[in-house]
Amino acid sequence: VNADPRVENRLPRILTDLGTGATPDYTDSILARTAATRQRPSWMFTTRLLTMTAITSPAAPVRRVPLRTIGIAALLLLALAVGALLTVGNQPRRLPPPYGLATTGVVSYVNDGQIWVAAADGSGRRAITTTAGVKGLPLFSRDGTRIAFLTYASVFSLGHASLSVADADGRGSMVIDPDAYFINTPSWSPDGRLLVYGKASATDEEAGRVYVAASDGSSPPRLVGDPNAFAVAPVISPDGTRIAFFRFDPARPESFQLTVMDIDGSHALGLSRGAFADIGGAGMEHGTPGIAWSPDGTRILFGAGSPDDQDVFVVDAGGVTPERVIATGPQLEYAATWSPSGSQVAFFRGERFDFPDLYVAAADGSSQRRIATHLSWFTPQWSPDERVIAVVPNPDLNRGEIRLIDLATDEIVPIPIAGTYIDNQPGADTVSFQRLPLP
Amino acid sequence: VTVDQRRLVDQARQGDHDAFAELVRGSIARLDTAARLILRDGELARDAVQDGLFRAWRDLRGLREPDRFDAWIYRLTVNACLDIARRRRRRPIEVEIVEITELLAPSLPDPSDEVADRILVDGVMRRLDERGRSIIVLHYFVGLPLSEVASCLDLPLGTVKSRLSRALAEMRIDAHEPVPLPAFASGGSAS
Repeated sequence: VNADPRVENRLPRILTDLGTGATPDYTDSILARTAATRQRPSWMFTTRLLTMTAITSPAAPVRRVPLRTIGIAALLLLALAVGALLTVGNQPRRLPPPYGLATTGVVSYVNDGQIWVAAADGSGRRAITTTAGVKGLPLFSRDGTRIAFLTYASVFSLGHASLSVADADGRGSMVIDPDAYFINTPSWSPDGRLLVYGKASATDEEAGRVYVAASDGSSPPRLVGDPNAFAVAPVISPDGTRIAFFRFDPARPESFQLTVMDIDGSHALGLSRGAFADIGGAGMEHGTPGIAWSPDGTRILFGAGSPDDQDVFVVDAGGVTPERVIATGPQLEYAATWSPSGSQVAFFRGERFDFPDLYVAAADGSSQRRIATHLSWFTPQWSPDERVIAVVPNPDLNRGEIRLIDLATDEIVPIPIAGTYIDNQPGADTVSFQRLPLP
Repeated sequence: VTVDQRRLVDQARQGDHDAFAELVRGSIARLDTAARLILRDGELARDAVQDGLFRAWRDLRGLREPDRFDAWIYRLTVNACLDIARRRRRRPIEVEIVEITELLAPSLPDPSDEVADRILVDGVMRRLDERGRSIIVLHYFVGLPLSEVASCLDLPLGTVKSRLSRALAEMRIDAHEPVPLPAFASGGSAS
């Protein structure tokens, strides 16, 4: 290499000359846009709000379980496993409704700011809501008879939505929480009487907490669990008795812990043992929970790791055995979800700020297959008959449709949507299947 | 960072939009230049700066070190540039042609050398991809140390050094020469 510091010394000035164009004339337009936008509360940034002192401090030691205890537990588990095998053999366990395989009803989605439904073949598209406000996050109850959804005053209403419940055909809508600030995706109790979700409050946007609301509006939403602990992404168990969520301490790095508690907020128990600095991949900032109970309620999937490298883990819901990785790689793996029978999992894989690809694998993470690329961040949705997965392409590339992908044939049913993208909140890129009883 | 800028950042983090507007008006021209250098397209650069500033306002409360606001908004803007480049990879990029005569400033000591240097640098920048151009821009135009460039672009430090070394070799520059960096280059990191 010929030494020529002359050019290098001039490089800053040369670059300035090469890149300078006309004085930007768009300052006012960007300021108008930001003026109409709410700032996100700092609790949504998880690790990024930590101080340098906290980051450079060593992580709190994980309490080690004595080897003897582990040995006894392993022997007990082995005995239980052998017993279970002798009893059940290879017969697949039929899950009781409202879990397990079911008939696929309509699919709900957001079109032009309202909730629409369509058959799984794309036919019969119609709006089921027509009221004012921009709708988001339609979510059918487990028995398919009702639907929950969010309403934003406008697409710029970052953070503030109301949570409503209506009959499956959109009639009888009622607001059950008018102040759903920075809400995480709700989950329905199996009997459809409760909705569990994480949100902040009007007076303290900095604090994520777990709330339980009666779906008939008979009582106001109530905070459950430790009112002083930060909690995100709560999901109710298939038997309706427990809630899984991430608990964390914003003053301490690597403090995310998958935790379960009873539905009334008592008996909190940390399940994950690893030191996790971040959760949920890109999906966490978009309201995607990243926690999924297996349909039989015995295991929990979650995505966690560092901001730049997360993996999908599965952990025993009883807290006996530690989590184990089922999907890993140099990119982020997150937003994992079980198929209705519990025999497969779907998850996202991608760089932190990139639009992810969708993978499907066996329940233990083997036999991974890439199904779709460049998607939005909302958790993929399985049809109740397990034949189809619904995804939404990256809205920046294609704002025009949701896609129902047949897993056996790879055929795609596109359902057109008009753009009502709600920036970084549960919004237009969300889909939910209606579950109907098997014939 | 001036006391005044620190005050504005603090006020903006509390939701004071006027303070944010003042910060933006002082930075937008250089952000626009950085984005033009990376994307080589005025319209795309405008999109990237708008996206970066929108994210800056929305996510300001997540900024860990308010003193690093400048570095942070460059980081957001460069990431927006890379997002745009990735999304539009299949579209032909419209290269903005800058007439060489427009690049000539009369006050320069040796105009012929300056023009030759600019043609040389412009040619190298054209041959680099957006990530390579981002390395040059963040280090020489923005003034970030290489460790922070690596962090910003999510690349190993060795990769940043080797890519920079190759680009400099094309400019016939010895990469080991000390480099005078623009004003606000400093250690630490922004979120």
